[in-house]
Amino acid sequence: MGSKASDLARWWQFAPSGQAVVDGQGIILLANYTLCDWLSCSTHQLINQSASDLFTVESRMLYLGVLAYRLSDVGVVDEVHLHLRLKNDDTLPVLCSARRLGVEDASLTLISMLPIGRKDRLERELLEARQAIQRALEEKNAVINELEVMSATLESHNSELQRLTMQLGHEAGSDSLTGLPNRRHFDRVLQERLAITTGSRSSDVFSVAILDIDHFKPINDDHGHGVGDQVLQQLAKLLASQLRGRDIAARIGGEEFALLMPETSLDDAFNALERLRLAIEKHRWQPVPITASLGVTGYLPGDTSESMMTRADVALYAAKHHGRNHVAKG
Amino acid sequence: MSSLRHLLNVNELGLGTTPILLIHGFGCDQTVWRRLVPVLETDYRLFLVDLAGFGCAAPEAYDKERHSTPSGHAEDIVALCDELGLENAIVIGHSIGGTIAMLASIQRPQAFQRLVMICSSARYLDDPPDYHGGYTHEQLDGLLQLMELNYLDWAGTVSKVALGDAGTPVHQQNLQQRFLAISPDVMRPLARSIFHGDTRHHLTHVTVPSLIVQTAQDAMVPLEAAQFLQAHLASSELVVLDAGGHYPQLTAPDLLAEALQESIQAQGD
Repeated sequence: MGSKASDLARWWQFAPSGQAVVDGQGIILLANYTLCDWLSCSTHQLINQSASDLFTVESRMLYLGVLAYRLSDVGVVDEVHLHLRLKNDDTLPVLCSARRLGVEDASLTLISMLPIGRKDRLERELLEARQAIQRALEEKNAVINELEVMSATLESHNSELQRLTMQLGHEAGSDSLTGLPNRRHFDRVLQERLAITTGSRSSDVFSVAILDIDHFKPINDDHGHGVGDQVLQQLAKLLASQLRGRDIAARIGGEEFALLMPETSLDDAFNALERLRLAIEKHRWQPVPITASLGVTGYLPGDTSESMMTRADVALYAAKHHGRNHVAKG
Repeated sequence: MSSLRHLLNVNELGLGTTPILLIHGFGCDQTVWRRLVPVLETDYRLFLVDLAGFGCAAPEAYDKERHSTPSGHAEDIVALCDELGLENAIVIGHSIGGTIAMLASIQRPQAFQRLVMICSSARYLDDPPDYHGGYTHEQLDGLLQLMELNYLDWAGTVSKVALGDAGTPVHQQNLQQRFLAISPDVMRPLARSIFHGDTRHHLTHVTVPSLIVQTAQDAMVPLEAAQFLQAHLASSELVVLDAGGHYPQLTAPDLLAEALQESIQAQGD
């Protein structure tokens, strides 16, 4: 019975795992044949060696930092993935588990090494795949960052474009000679004013006037278009300076201007335009003095822009007929 | 802002007056000193610290950027010295903890009377023909890959404190947060910075007298690396312990304490 047990114990030498007993300083005291066989050396050659020397340089730090450290710490280590250093620079991946032996001499430990060639290959492939994914992710993030920068640039270009478009729109709505709004712009503002007044059903009053320079054609004929243009520009400036806050003046034809006067009754508008007529008369024009005739009308329920402009035009005609340099109501 | 004493889980013990600050290495925590503590605590006042990201250091102490380098950890140690008002102290660092202690001593020479570096290296990578760090580029890359395959074990090394299996009292910490703190994201950048790092140019700035302790068979740091430290640190001595492995504080605490005492007494004479 006893011999049988020792026979069986002999098989420890041929266990399918490498086995070594190591002392507290990491020196090998005993190794089984399996381990010696892997390392192509005799038991005697292994004994008194440092156990850390069995491993590759890469593995030594983990042998010491994980396996030996935890052994001396808690006496138990499981599943540390290391590489044994074989003859001819070959390596053998092993999974190491270790136990502190006995209670008497706490410094003895048994290290058991299971060969894991296939597992090692698979894990490395997994790791490399994961790292490739990580790199791809980093590249993707870099591309996303680049796109974000480009999108920000595009956005700033867009807002610049929008600003330019607005400027163009403004230029399209204004008269290039005088800088005043043109007929199109005036019509739009008048339409808006009418829509607000009609929609609100309030007793909102406002007035519209048309101004025409008296005897303008001879100025152009006698002094040339340059002087005519100068006169128009000076009148535009004068109009702008005479306007109240919400009044709008526009150049709607050659020597014809229109005025929109919000919240102004026909009588108030008439008085204001009379002052304007006088201001034009008194202005020190260079080089030719001018006067102007004006026709004004107030908003009536049911008015359209056409009906208002027609009444203003009729009033202007009446003013001209009255001898010019005159304001007439319509 | 909490005090660093709390954030870095500083434990103060011992009956003596001369202070000793103990700084652990990579993948460890202050429990690595537990076999040395009983030998020193009768004569000294010991301060044990957990570096940010390790052991029972508070999760909020950890800063991803700063703590990915040894010099970032050294900043913590400098601030801790100021907070504790350390003067004439002995600072003992193990492995990268020694490098951290060395960097801190340059910032606060008045705080320390002695710098002790145990199994430390100024550079792991060989720099032929004059410097032997013990590793080639390929070997260090291989090591970092192997660490990836083993990262759970590195994590396990640190997390045992959370399970209450430690020599020092465990502070009330959220277990979940502790495990988060030791994720490979903490280990990976610091490991990269340690193993690819080079602190040789700092050595000449050290003015605190130093003691370099090396084991006779440390498979992690070659004797040449320890000799390099000794040769480039002003007023330094090298003691080679008749012990194996990279952790003499665990495997040969008495030999280590003896070397310390001798060096301190020799300086006192």
